[in-house]
Amino acid sequence: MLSSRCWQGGDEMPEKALLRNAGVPHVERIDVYLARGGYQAVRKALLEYKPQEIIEMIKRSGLRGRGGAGFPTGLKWDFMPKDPNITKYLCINFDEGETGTFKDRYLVEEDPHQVLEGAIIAAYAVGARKAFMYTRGEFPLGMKRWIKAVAEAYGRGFLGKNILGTDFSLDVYVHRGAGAYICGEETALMESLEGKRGEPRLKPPFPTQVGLFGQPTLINNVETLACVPHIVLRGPEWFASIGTEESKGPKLFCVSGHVEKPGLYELPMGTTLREIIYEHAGGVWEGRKLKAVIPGGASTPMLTPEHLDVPMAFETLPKVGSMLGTGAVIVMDESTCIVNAVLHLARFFAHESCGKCAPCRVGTHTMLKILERVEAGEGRDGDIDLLLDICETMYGKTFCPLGDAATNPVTSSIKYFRDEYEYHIEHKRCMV
Amino acid sequence: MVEEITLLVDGREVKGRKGETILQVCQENGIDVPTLCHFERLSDIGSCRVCIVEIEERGRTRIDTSCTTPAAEGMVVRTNGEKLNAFRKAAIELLLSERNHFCMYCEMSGDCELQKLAYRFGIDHIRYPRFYPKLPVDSSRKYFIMDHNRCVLCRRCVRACEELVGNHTLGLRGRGFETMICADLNVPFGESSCVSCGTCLSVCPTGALVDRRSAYMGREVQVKRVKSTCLFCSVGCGTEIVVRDDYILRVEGDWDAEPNRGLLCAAGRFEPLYDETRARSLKPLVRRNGGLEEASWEEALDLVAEKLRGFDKKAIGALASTRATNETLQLFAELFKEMGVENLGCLEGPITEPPEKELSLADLDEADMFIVVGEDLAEDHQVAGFFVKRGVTNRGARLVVVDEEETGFVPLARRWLKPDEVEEAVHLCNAAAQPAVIYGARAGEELEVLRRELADRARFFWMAPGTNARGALAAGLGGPFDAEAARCVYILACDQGKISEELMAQLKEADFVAVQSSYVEPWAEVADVILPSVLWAEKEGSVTNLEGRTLKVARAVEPPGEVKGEGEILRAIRLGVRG
Amino acid sequence: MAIPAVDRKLQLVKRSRMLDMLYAAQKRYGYLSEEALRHVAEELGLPLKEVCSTASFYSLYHMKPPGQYVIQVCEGLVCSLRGGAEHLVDHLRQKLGIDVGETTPDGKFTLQTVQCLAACDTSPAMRINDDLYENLTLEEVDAIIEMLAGGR
Repeated sequence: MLSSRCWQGGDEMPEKALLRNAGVPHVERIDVYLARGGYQAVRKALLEYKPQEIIEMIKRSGLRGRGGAGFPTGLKWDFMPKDPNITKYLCINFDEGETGTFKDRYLVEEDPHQVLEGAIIAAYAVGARKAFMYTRGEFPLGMKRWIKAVAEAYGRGFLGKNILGTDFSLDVYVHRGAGAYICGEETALMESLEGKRGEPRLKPPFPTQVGLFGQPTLINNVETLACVPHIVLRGPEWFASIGTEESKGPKLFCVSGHVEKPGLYELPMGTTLREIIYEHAGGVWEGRKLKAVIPGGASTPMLTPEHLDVPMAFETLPKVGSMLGTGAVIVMDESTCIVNAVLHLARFFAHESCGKCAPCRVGTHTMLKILERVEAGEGRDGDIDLLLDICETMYGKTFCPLGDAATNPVTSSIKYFRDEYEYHIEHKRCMV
Repeated sequence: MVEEITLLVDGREVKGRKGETILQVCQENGIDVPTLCHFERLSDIGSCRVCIVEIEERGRTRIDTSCTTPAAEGMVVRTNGEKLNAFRKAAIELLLSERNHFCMYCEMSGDCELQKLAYRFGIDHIRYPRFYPKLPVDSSRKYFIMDHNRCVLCRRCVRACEELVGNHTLGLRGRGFETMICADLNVPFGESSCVSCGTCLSVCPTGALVDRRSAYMGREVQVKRVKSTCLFCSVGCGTEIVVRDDYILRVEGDWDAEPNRGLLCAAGRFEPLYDETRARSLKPLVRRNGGLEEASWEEALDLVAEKLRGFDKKAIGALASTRATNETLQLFAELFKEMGVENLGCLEGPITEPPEKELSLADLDEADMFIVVGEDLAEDHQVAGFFVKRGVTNRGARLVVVDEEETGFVPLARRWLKPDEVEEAVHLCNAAAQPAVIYGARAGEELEVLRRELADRARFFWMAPGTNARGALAAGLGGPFDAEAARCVYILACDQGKISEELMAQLKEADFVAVQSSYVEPWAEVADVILPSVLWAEKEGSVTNLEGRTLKVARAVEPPGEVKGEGEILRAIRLGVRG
Repeated sequence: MAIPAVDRKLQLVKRSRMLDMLYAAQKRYGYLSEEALRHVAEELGLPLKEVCSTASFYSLYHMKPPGQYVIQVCEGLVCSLRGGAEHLVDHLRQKLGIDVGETTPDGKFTLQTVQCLAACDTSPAMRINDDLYENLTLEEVDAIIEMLAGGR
């Protein structure tokens, strides 16, 4: 159970926001949720503010997308057309598939009403009358909890026609995915929701112009939406007071791998890797030493102990050559064979490549095969340069960012651990 | 008026039109951007990434595929340069490493677009490891083969089957490296819903789709292309007959021709070359001693002329196949009218002139409703049928079939009505803005009802029987033909093979039958004289298609043996008859 | 090519039922057999190739008959770091006597690997049919298999 492993974090955030209901039994039920002050945000938003005011609020809060891209949420909401006669949709991206990431699953399974509140407010703000939740096929429990929560919300008048007596109506639908990581990419998600292969679409047009069924669609990550009720209730200034210059608010950091206490940690944006790993997650397990850490999920370049003091935020990680991504911290200790670790990630990307564009389709497969032989002790001279060559060929030139993501583990691991690769090739076995 | 825009491409100012892609603007201005998955007639998907260019817009630079990016005023584009070309080279090498591309054994070598790109970027070896996946060769289709080993997954075939033909047979299966082109529910192509139109074959850039008969028989530089018109139905598709050393390799569609714009169907593309098993008539044959024996032209022509002079003009009848050119049909009509023979007609049967003197199949691309009456477009006039399939499956147009028989288009139709239910079709038209009525030989009274009710609303499309029906009508050969009265029959048969049993039985009763035909069969049983005549690819002249459009037929190969031209034979007979 | 002409918009919305219908067909027919795919194509009014194309894209659809219990072991990086993934797979291969992608001769178990199940803090993890098992040890896995093999 995720909730039993959710730690509340340290003193920086005595008052949890996203995790405020963590550990509360049955908070997925609306009665319990309401008793904890739930749906007050929906009331406030719908009864005290006009839609455009909500958008301004989100803009002022500095909230940025939590799905990995970090696009300013308020700006995205503002891109939606204002004409009330245009049919608009909200789409909730629950296709959490990034290795190391499990925050959305926690949110939907354990505290679905929080996400639903955010969705209702978002739909209200942009004038969407239908919301589609796209859930990963591997999350039947999440889907079940969501459906139940939605049904309960309908029952209490938070969904359906004329919510809380306003002229805002909203219906929520669920679409179950069927096992394709690429469907987490927003245009591929739309293709999948429309019942097709999950292959990304050309952009432009952007989803806020042409989205689901040809209509303007707002697509937001689960965690992003979960932040919304808190911004409405506590104010955008409160949200903006947490975090860094360009990355605001609390963030759910998923810590896993070789740590004492893997789990979800709600901490301010900008908390350092060192603090996350050592002060909150109990440090590297079994008394071992840190070898490498992936800061934001499989798609982000890996870092070494020398980078531990980097603040975890959108603008700071690029300075050390990585990205915040989903904020999923994967810790690897000294016993880890880096080549083996990268092989796992390469297998992941090759398996998930949609196959539409040639460089990614072939490149991910080729990298996998090369890594397989290097790891198995059959690597050849020039394999490292070949890997870098493929990365160079793919980066920035594939149809969608999966191609870029696939190269990040390879380029970063060769940058910092080239000797391990060389050892594998020369000595035909692992250094470790 | 479409707005004109100006871009800076490779340092040069070029003009384009709003709505065009960067690639289109480049191509129109003679700038050669390499492409692979792009094909002019198909939608662009940006999947091969070969056409990427550097785009500077509003102060920001990015790399994107030129085939999918709309050109905008003031864009600065770089199509060349070391980095771009290094990428293109690497991308093509990746493609070459993906499957089994052995140019040495491939029939497309020399004409393959992948190979051309490899040469262009100086690829003399492949730096990436090769996988040699064991991929199947699907040879279950009669006319062409799909070799997955040579496929680059450009998806042109899938797009062609969807967008140009509307047949939706080809699709994909699997994901990533495992992706494969497949038919229907992954069945052998020969067992699928494929109609063998050959469009996928004509768009495939590599040797993945290969015409069986012409494989390895000639490279582009070794062949001659003759533009002509298909003579196997009245649509009159523009063809390019591919010839080498006086031998027909294959028939391709002419992408620039109307009304087919490059499309063909099996009847014109494959059947004439693959399915014709009859023996050519190479020398004149005369019936002697109970059987047909070879004779000289002089002898055969003399005999025919003698008979034509000898019989009473009311006892003479003449039939012309509509596969003949306008010039031949005119000459034919003249010849017999001169003799006073009035019993004239077409081999395919009587033809009634329709009210529509002219029509344009291109209008079918605008229709939002099709009513198909007495015509099976799955069998006949298939390319016209493609317009309907495209409309229905891609534009959401509605189809109503009004037919006694369950035609091949019924599964596609919203409603299948029997002729006596035609009023319902009229009713369904009320919701349509641009209805189109397509009618064929079996259309009866119900067509008249539609004409009356939809007179000023719908366009009517005559699927003329035979081939050059309009030419036959213009020559006064619409018939009807009185077979019983004809004791002496002359038949301009061209290469026609399917003759009605009724006619054959009547011809058996006739006293003298002379046939000018490309093939001995089916005339051996009934003919007294068979005069060897040119085949579809050996004649020249013009035909008029069902639209009323005059199309050119060109001689692609020389006639073999002692075969003579159709007009030549008729003129010789005329001389003989005049005495 | 059975594609009855319907309203374009309606067609889009109808098409969006595809993944759901494929799940339903999989449940009814046991797997996505030819019959199942044809049924879906007919229901949705789509060409056969569209259904095949879509179904074969996704990992959770069984295009071949699966065993009674489909074991899907997460082979992601984190599960591997915590002793799962290939260690678990190898253990199961030995225990069940089959390779990845295969089904035991008695039709009971199919062994598959899947990508990250978002159970990284409770790894190693695996799914059996639609149930998630987390915090696994090899002993626990043995116990689960034995219980399921015992049958109901």
